[in-house]
Amino acid sequence: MNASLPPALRALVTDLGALTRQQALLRLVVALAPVLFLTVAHAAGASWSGPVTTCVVVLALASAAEPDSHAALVVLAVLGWFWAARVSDPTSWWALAAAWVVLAGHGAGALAATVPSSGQLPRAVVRQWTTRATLVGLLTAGVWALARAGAAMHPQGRATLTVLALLGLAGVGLWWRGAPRRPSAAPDR
Amino acid sequence: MPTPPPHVPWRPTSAHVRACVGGAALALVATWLRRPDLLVLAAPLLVVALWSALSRPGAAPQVEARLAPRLVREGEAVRWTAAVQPVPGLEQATAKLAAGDFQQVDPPTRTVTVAVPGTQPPEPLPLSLAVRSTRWGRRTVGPAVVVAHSAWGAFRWGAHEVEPVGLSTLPVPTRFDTTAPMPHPNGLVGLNRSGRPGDGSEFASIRPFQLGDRLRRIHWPVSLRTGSLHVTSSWADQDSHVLLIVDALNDLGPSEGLDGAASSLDTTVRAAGAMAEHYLHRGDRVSLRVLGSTGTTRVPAATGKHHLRRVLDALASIEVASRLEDDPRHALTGVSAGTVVVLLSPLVSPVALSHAVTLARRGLTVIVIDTLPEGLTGDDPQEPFAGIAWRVRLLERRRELERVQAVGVPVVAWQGPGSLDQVLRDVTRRAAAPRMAQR
Repeated sequence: MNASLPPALRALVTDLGALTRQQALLRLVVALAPVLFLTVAHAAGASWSGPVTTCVVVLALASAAEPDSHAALVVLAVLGWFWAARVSDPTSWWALAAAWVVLAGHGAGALAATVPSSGQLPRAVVRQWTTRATLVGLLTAGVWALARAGAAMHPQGRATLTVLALLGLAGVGLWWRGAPRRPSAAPDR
Repeated sequence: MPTPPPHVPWRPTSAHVRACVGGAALALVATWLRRPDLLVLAAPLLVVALWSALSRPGAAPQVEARLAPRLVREGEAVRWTAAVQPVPGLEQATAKLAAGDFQQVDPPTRTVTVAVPGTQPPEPLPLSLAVRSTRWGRRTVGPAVVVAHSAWGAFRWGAHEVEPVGLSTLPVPTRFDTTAPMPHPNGLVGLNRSGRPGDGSEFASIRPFQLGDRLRRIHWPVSLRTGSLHVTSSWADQDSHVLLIVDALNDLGPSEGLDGAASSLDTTVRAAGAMAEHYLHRGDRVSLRVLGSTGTTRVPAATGKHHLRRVLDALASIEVASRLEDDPRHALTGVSAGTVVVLLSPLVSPVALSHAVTLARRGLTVIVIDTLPEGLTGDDPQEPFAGIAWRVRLLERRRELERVQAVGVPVVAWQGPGSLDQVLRDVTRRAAAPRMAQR
């Protein structure tokens, strides 16, 4: 059966056939996270959309099959647009759940891409990633709390200035990255 | 020697691009639309992107592959290790070893991943795999590919190819034993009964006492009966020279390593190793000659444990049919009178048989051991006439064997222990009789 497939597809089938349990679990998270995101969005007030759901499911499967691709970025773009367009309550606590789903999907995809499909991850690596994801999840909860508090205060401001400030911050970050640094303790070889 | 790393930089992965682009886009849209919920969605991605950017590695790690030990016997395992010198920011390294012939790797996925401990140690990270060699010969382990990642899998170094490492696998000799005497023991010391009287363990006769005889050899019953001193005499124990000729012109039949089916060359090499081990253990001298292979084709006659290692090393270096021209006229080079020549061959190529005939015509004792695997049919779905051609060749081979046996060269099939018992007894008996030889 495989002989009739194009080489790239055949390699993909072979790759998926060699998945370890860990990899299968990670890719399952990658595939299910967008669907869970849509469910959370529905709980937050968004209405179901057949074409969007189909598109997200197909892209989610693609990103699960190839975690080291930009398919997940497209999924993220579609989900972001869907949330912005369909969810009307900007202070809903479902946003925090959705953010955690985004974090889980992103982390699982990134971790799956670090080893071959047949590779086994050491427990230390899994523990390290889980700890860090929990930490980022807590920080996200803090951001959600701040956002909710800020929204309750109804602050006045101009979006243009805020965007310009964010771009300025990004510029400072880029400048910091490009600035010459002290030589590291480890000698260059 | 560590491999130079500068040409392999750290590159951002798709995960990092996703975190940066996705997080920034959501944050911008959140600001533009005054939607704090979108900022919450962007928050984890931005945090991850910032974390990744701050912990980006600057220098490339060094990788050094090694194998310990580099010499094993069939069925033994070695440890392949790629040592990755950690650099700041490196958090995880993965190595994948290429599949090799007659090598079993543990784990079978041939992939290993290690994480850098929280406090980076000065010593390299060992990416280690167990490799079991299942067939004799000289092969390489690898190449391998090493990939390193930074925090959150954001930056990747590699794939960096690690050079293969050489591994020599000595054949495991099969079981071999023989109780038959050697036909022409003509050395100095050994366990074979020679044809001349001397100090030994084999009884020869009872003869009158001569000056120089040891008193403990006096045979008192005969001395008392005859009235004059008589002593028991013995045959001298001497060693033999065994020349093993290995035919590497062909390798017939499937070879599945130590745990599976054996090809003709597998049987040949393991049988040669077994015979060398047996005769060297008995104190005989063993030399080796390899037909049809480059590399070490001759091992001169010697004895001892170290010599066994030399013989096995030469057997491990055999490359089948890598040197097809082999003049039978050179067969006599380095072969002295009284040498017992054992030719191990599947007897498909006439070159090996011509060597045997040349040596036999010079008066040497030659024994041919047939190592052709049983049940070979030569059937090939791609070649409809291959089976017929193989059967024709087998008929020719049978006729050639009959002609060789008519010259006086015995041909026996390899059966492990006792394979040579009957033929050696016959040869020894025949060696006692006079015969003609070309000189």
